[in-house]
Amino acid sequence: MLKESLKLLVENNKAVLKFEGEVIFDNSNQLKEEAKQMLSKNEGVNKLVIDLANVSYLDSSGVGLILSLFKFMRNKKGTLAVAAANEKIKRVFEVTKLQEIIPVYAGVEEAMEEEPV
Amino acid sequence: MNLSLMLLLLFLMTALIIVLAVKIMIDKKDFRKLESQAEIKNLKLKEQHGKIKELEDDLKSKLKKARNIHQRMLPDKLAEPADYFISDYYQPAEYIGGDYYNVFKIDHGALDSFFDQYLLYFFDVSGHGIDSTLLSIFVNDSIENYFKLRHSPGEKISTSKLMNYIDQRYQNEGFPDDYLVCLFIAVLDKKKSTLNYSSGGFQYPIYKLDQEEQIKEINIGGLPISAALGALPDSREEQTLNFEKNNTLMLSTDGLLEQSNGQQQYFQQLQGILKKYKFLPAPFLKDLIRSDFYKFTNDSPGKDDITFLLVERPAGEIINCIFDQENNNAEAAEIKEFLDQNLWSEHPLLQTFKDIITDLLKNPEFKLKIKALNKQQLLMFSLENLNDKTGWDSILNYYPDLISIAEKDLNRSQNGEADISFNKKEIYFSHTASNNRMYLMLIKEDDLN
Repeated sequence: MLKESLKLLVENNKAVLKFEGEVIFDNSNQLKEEAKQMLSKNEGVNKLVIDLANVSYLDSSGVGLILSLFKFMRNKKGTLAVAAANEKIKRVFEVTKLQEIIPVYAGVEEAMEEEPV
Repeated sequence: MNLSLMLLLLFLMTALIIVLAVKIMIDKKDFRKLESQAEIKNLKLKEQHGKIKELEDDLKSKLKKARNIHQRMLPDKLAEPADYFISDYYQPAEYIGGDYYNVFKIDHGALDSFFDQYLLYFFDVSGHGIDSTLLSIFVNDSIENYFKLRHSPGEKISTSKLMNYIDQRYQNEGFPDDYLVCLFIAVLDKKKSTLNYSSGGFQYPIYKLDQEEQIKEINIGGLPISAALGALPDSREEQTLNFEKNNTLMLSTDGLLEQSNGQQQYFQQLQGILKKYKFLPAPFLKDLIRSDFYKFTNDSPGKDDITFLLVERPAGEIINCIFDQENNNAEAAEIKEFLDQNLWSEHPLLQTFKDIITDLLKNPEFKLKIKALNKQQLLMFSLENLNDKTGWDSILNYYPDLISIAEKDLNRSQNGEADISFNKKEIYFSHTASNNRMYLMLIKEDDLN
């Protein structure tokens, strides 16, 4: 995945982090570092939605990346949600029960509207 | 033209020549300077290249060492209950991976006869570097520690509590947030014919193959072990599976199932293979899946470790014996009787099969552990040389027509599945990765699949 394909859109205290392609072992570490750098520059963000609309596949390293961002947001008293995942990725969250910890929404707008718990 | 004008022209030309000469000298000097700078840069570049090469070699050497450590960690031999067959396959990723598996008999001391139980587990840690090997060592060490420190003989083993123990230890170690462990732990209880298990992190199912019924897909899932999630006690509940005769379990980490060939994932193809060839005993089904997988990937190594296990509880008659010089008469008679069962004595290759076994029994260097399975469709011998691991070559040299499915270039049917016809005209052989066990199989009925 190219660097420019990782985008952070900030609106007040909410942000959408958009990944593209496959999030796998080969790129997950770099993506994690870049995402954390972007988020560190936007300290006011307390709600992060990961937009997976253009992500075709997540392997266990990709899941590791999302868990790392989950902890990152939790450490700053924020929340994290996942949105627009394809059926395959939704199944990963369902089977591994991660959706009980990280909310999964059908679309980004819906995820953004939901108030942090 | 007067003389003074000519002198002036001469003077100007001389001056021009001098200026040009000086300019050439300066340029040459600059050129030498640039040349020298280029040489210095070139030398520095070479030096940098050398350093990068050194670092690369160092990294490769460390990865190789870590890979060796990981390979050595894997069990040489899995504990196999007398009436079961367990087959394993492991192929590390390009560098090194973090998959691990093991099966061992749970020690219940004096109460062993009441608790005939085996612990079976496999796990996958994220990443493929030296870190993942260290993490594998940690998880394996945690499981072993649990049985040394927390388990008392005769005590019921809860896979859920074992998961909690590993999770808690993991949280105490401070592993990075983006690392995670996907783990499956099961207790195979022979007395109860059950498999109690807890699982975390796996995206893909395990499969239960029943000769009489459809293949059952079991989503084991559960939350992975991760520092980002923190300790999650009692979140990975214990589940129970009945494990009757004629059942085979196919257990796998994600590497095999998520491998793509650009068009589809192997996960989509595997079910068809299992359905079509579920009659095969575990060692041969393992070979078939291996061959089919590499045909699917066009022989390219997977991005992730490829690990799978087949645990089979066959129907049919099974005999187990250890054959050495001290007890050869009694055991040889039992094996002979087993081979002479008249149910299928007209088989065209029975005599060759008998010759192979008889030759093995005659070899005084062999102390053989023999496990023979006789079921409706096939006969299989599992032969383990307890003295040596390298004793099979002579058999393979002497009987070159033995067929190995692992080395066979498979044909494909129209729907992409492996297409191999097991028949009465062949004797099939297989062996474990460590070569300590060899399997021979004779098919009794043609057109099994």
